[in-house]
Amino acid sequence: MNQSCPVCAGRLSERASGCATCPMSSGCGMMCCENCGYQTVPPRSATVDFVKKLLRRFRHDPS
Amino acid sequence: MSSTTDTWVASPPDSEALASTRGDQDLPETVVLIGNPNVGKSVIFGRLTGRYVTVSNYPGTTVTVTRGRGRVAGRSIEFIDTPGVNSLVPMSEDEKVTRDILLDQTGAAVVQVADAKNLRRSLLVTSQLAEMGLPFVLNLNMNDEAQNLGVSIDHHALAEAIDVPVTRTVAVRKKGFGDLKKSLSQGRPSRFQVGYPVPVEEAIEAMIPLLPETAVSKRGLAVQMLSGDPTIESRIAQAVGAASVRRLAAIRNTAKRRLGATPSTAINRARLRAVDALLTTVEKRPARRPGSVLDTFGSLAMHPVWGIPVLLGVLWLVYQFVGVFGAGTLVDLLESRFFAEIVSPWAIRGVDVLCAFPHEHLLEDGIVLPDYRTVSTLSTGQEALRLIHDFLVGPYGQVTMALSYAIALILPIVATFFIAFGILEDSGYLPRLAVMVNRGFRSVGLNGKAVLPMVLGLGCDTMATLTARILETRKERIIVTLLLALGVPCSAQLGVILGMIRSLSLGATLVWAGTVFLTLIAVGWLASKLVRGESSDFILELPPIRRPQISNILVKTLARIEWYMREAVPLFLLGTFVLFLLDRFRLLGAIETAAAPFVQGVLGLPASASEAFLIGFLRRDYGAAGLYNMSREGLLDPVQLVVAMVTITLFVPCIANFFIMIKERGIKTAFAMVAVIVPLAFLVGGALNLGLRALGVTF
Repeated sequence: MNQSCPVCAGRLSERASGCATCPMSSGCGMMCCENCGYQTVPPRSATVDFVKKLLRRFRHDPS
Repeated sequence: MSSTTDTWVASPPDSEALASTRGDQDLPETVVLIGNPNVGKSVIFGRLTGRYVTVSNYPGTTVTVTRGRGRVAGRSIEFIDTPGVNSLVPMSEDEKVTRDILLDQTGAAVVQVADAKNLRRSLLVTSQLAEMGLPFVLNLNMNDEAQNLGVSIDHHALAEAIDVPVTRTVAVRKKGFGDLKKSLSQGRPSRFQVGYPVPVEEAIEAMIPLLPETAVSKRGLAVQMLSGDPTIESRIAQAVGAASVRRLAAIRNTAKRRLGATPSTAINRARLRAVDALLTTVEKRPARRPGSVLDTFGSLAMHPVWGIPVLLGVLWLVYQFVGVFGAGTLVDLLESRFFAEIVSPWAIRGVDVLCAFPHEHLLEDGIVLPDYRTVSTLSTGQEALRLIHDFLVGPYGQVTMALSYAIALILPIVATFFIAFGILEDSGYLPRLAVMVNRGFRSVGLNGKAVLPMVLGLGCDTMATLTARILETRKERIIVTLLLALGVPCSAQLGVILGMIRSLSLGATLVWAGTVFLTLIAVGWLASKLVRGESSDFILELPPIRRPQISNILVKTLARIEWYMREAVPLFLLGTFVLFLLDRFRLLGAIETAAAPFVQGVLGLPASASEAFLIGFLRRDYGAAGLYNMSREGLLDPVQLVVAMVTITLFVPCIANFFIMIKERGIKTAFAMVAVIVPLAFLVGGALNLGLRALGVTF
């Protein structure tokens, strides 16, 4: 899912300079806005992925 | 590419001659693509080059720059895709890299890629390119989207006004690349020049004789110097020596005195005026629909007067959802029913079976509690089993305290808060709040981008402290770091506080909010007087107010909850383990006794509140959860609750925040801040307790 910065509509990136230089970036996965520096959690959810995978499996194999 | 200062101090190319003699047969060897973020630069780069590109870090930075070769009129040309910029007076490492590429890449053609939907933002960069005297071409991308929105740009008039070729592309559909390629040999310096107030123009004139010959014009360099860009100062110092830089700084200070503000403020305002004047002649936008509810809300949210009731209304809605529904209904369901009646008793019984030693748990309404009494003397082996039992399900057990707090008490609160925060994010309200708050921040020596980390602190103070690096001056960075640590509650803590507010009257809530607000204002004002430096400007492109999408909010909320569980739960487990050890070695009682004169005497709280403040050092929300639990158990009266809330709100956010403070501001500054914050939190809490008691306030 693409996400733009909720503050300035800039591009959110996990490689933006603020995140790349953060000492806690390892395993953190926060995204930074390339424009204003706003940081947020990437809109990826293991729970949603898990549910989607289950639904896909169920659709392919309804029995 | 060369990126050395020696190259930068080379003689400038004769751009006029270059432009007049270039034809298709005289294409540049290198083309630099620049532009704002999200204008489609990388798509254009991909179309102009091919599959084989080189991605590397710009020397000395973590910023990546992409290079590739493409064929134009039978010739191989190197293309460089630069990081997105909103200004060529760099405010971030990304912007500095792009600016440095322009300074170093002598003789290259520059193509500025602009988003046709948002020409204003791009023309601010155009005006800077023009000022720097660099030959360039302006390419309007995303023309189809602009047309769909009813935006029409007279590109002929624009080309005439700025006197450089203007091309149009729809990069994603491969449209317009023929004209763009043809224009590569026709770039020339623009005659679009911004006129500044007299003190700025006179400062530019005075600076020009002191500046070195470079690839960019001396006027452009002078404006960058006046804008207070420290990175350009160090480059100029290498070329002309420290004495000239001191004279340049003196000229800048004179301009500042005459303007009564930083020259960058006057420069930015003049630039915006010039761009707006140009826009009126080249761009037509559809008239805004009057009376649209969302538009009206957006305008009111930014208004200096109406913005306050809008903010209060938003806070009330958030409180109803987080404080009443999350901290009330959901916590009752999870904590009082699910955890206290099912999970904890089940875990206690299970551990009792596995780690059997003679003991009896206390019961409340027939429900097993973690507290127990031993029924006979224990052998050494039984003592060992008791240790494991207590570690897991004792009063400071990992299940009965850490997981109970994390999952039953705080999770419902932060989950509802994340939903509310996601809605605020996606609605476009946050930037409007930043604009509204900006005025208030000026009174404490803060303005501009300082608002952003403060708003972001409502999500996570640690990340907000990192964001403070986008601020221009050391003064701003220190004040923001201090205020974030002192009084901006993070999402988890704010959620817990909203839960605590639930049992307070409106008056008590206002006393809490007023005390924290006044403390922030007082400390911020004092810090702005003590920490020397300059304040900076605030330019923010507002995204439209829009209706949030439910699916997006749900995915974001789940992602945030997963992140919170990964980040906070390990610290909850650690904090509980520390309490367990302190209790085991009978140090907890000693600490409570030692802290009693202060916690009981000054703050007027029960001795057991010391535990909450102790674990508050690990995470402020964990400490707040401890106090919240005490209030739910009826151990705090309303005055005590307000005093406890004020003290924990003004506490250091968490251990992670402290580490980031050390990294970002240095160990001395970080310790100095903690040395101010912790005593101040207790001092304000104590003064409030004494004041309320003296006045006989009971709420």
